[in-house]
Amino acid sequence: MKNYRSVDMIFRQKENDPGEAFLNAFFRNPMLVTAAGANLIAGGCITLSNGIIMTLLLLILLPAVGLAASAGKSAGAGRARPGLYALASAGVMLALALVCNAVSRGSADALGVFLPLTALDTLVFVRLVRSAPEMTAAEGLAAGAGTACAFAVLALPIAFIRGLLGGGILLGRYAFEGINALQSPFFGFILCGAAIGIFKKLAMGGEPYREEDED
Amino acid sequence: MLGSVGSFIVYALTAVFIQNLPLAGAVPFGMINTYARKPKRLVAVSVMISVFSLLTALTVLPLDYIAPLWSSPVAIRAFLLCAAAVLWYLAASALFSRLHEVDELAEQLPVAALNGTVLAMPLIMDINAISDPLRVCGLAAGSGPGFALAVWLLMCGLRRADNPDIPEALRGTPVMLIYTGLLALGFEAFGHGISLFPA
Repeated sequence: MKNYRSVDMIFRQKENDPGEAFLNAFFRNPMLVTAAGANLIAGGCITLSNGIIMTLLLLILLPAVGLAASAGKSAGAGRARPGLYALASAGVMLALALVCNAVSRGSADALGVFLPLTALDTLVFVRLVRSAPEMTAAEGLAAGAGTACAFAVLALPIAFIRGLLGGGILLGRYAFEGINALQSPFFGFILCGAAIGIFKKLAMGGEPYREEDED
Repeated sequence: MLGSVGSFIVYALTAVFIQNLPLAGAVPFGMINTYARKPKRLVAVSVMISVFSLLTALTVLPLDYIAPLWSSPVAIRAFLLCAAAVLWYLAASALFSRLHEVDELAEQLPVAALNGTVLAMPLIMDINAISDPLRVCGLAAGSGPGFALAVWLLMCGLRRADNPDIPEALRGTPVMLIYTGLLALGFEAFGHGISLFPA
């Protein structure tokens, strides 16, 4: 049976330089291939402000995790490694959320259950699996930034559309009565699928991700 | 006693078929989508998810009564939950390392213990003011089978995701997400009422 390229396969590839790591993460990242992180968009990005906060958190968290993973590979902590990294990413999320809440009251809390899920999301977690490549610190940073940028390209338009149609919010103001159901995860999933299809069509000429037979 | 067992089963079934978190709540979707491609040891992972959900929920449940921190912002609650999940993961990891015959199961331990469901279930209970221990246990126990059901449904769709009748740009992940959206709509029709965001 033919499988689509798995998350593991992507991160097993060795990058050559930070620029290539960034581009590879941007165009062929796990979000586009296996929809890792789609739950954060489908569930959490229900308004543009939620989308912006989520994107900011990932723009800081993903490079930080990439950096930690590149350092942690050599340190080695055996089976405890995923747990320690999960705790560290949760700590980073806590600090970032408190900063966001201090700057704009309740902005991070508005992400609901998707705030903690960011720390344990597959986007973050795949960098910690055993098959993750040995990356240098610069490559780890660049790959994290590339993944976060691809997330932003998808998340922000979707969050805007859901805020507009679902919440009736335009430019931070209630413009009309929206259809609340469109802020539910089902509409997020459908928009996310359509957006990834459009992104792939525009960025890669619609070339499907196909993988050779895998075990 | 019989009534309690009955209630427990009803809440567990609710978590599987009505308030299915991976689909209706989009909670650990990345994990189920990745797992649907390589469904190794799905039953064992589902059981472990139920156990870890239960342990994490029961660890933080007393905080409702004794620590004011629990009524603080979501971020702090989330960190406490994550710490609880990681502690249980480390404990299970230490236990598994002593039992060499379960090495294959140990490989799946991070997926099961550090799963979105494990973390989100207690938070959702808090947001929805669910504190009845019986209901907490029932919903937590049902989260593993709910995960398995979601993986199975996605596996069914995955077999058709490269159908040549689908436009090329939508084949694979995009069509899987659209399919998931339709599944989520179905589950939401049953399970409307559970909130994912604080009031």
